Amino acid sequence: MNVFIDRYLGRARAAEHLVEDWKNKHDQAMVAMDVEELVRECVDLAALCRHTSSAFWQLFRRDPNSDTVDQAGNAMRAALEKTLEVFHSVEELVARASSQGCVIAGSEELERNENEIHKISAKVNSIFPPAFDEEQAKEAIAAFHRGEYVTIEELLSEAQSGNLRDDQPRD
Amino acid sequence: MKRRVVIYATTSRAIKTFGLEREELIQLLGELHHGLPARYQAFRHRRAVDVRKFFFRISVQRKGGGQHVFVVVVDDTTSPEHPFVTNIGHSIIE
Repeated sequence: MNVFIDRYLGRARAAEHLVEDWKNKHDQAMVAMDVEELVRECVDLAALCRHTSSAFWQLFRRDPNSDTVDQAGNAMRAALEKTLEVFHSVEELVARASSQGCVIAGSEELERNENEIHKISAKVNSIFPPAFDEEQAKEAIAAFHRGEYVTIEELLSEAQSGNLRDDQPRD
Repeated sequence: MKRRVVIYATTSRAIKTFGLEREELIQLLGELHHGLPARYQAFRHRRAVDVRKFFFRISVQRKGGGQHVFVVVVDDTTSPEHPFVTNIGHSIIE
């Protein structure tokens, strides 16, 4: 396990506990101040997420197929999922506080950071195989049996000649 | 055993939609042609969600900066001599 991922995952879990604990027990008179503090926690968490992401891509560039990248990538996905859950919870708290007439500082920053985390998450997910689709797999095999495939030699030869053709079923 | 890589039609169509420069495309296909059979033993333990398949990544320098990253899913259980490239994902890392 890498320290940079552990640190981020630990912080995301801590933020989750902080939000959940606050939801279970809080002083109604302190709502605006407390929610602003939770927004700050999210913004801090987003900064750590960006830092961790940057460290992760450095690791990735060294060897994209290393076991370390797979392990760190999976931990990163878990941390990102948790981060987005925390953001979602805090956004709900901001909306509730706003509906009660409270003005919550930093709520635009919260949204901007959430969008950025979604992008980081999509990028990390993109280095893993897509979810398995049984129907798609069956259709691909059926297409293969219909002769709809190409060998790598053929595809490479087409690319080298600069003439990539549309696929045609084989006889 | 000599392994000849076969590309599903859906995969070859996907490759053509990535908008790669000719040199980038040739590098990707070269990795599939030579790199996949050569590194098969190293990659085959990395099973995908569907355990009939393994996956590996190919990184290609991008002309405009950054890297193209391809996640390649390979079925090596249907025919041992013909690894089938059943799926390929693409993203750009800056």
